[in-house]
Amino acid sequence: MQKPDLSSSIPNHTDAAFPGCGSCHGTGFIHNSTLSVPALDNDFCPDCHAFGIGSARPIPVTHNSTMNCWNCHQDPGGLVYQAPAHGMMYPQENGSYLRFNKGIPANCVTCHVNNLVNTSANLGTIVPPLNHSTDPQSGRKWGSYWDNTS
Amino acid sequence: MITACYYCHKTELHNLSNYTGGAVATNLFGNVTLVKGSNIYKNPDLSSSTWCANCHYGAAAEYNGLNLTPIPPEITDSSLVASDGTPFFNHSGFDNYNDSQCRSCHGGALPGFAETTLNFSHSVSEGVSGGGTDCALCHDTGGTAPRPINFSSFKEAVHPANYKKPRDCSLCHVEKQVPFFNAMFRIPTRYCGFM
Repeated sequence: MQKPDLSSSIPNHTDAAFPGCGSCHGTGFIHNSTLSVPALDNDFCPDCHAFGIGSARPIPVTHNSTMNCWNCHQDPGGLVYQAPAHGMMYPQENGSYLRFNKGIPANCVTCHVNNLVNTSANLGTIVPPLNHSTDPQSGRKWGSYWDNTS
Repeated sequence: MITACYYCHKTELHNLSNYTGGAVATNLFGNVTLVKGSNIYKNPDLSSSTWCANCHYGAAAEYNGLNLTPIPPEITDSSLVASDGTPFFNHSGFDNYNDSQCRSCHGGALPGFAETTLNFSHSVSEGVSGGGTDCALCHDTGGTAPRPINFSSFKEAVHPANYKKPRDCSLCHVEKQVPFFNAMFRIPTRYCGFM
């Protein structure tokens, strides 16, 4: 076993019945040549997610067309990051991660101002604390531009 | 802070279908592409960029604010009314409208960060009169601010002979929290720059 700590308790891709192991790895006995490990790249995830699955929203491209899904949907400090298509996680607004649970998801500011998600790779373009402008009425002062409530 | 992001960058972090900048969608700039013009991203030279003007100054060569919804406040449109009662400042009459000019009054939130167009556009401060250090630096004749004051005459007219910066200016011009001066000088101070 190449990664015993991981392999002995590896979670499925999601907490739903589908997809199971066979969806990505093929079917057969444990040593059969019919089993495979697909290459993870930016074409792999959209194979299923580009048009949505069930009630899931379509995800035609990865963020900025450059990010890998697991740049955000895995905890880089977690064991499962070694097999990042498993046990998908949702980055949280406070920089933590929840598995199979959207919780209070990260937003633009989480990554691009506060740099709280996947900080080891420092993947996002960082901007100063967002003020356009510093006025507390910003966004509503000269019209209805934004209210920053969602 | 999120809907502020959406105004410029649109909402779909996983979907580039709203991208309007060209045939090949490769980024999440969203509406930013509409006002980019000839500007470059993350430009460290604010004097050679016009990001602000392209959104907010209708006479700018590459102005495209009309294609944003709602249209960004236009800095010479005196019909604009602030929701909090702030008097509109008409920005007509500046020598130029590059980002460096804007930064001179709206760059108060920028210290501590590299002076790039990326950082400035995301961190714009409420406009101040030259930063409050020395009114004459910008408002003396030949200065960068509109409505120039002849400070040589200023010292000989009704204003204090011993001009002390910036206290003597602020008594009439910006100290709105002082009811007496606000009531007495609000209108005159708004027009004295035209003299």
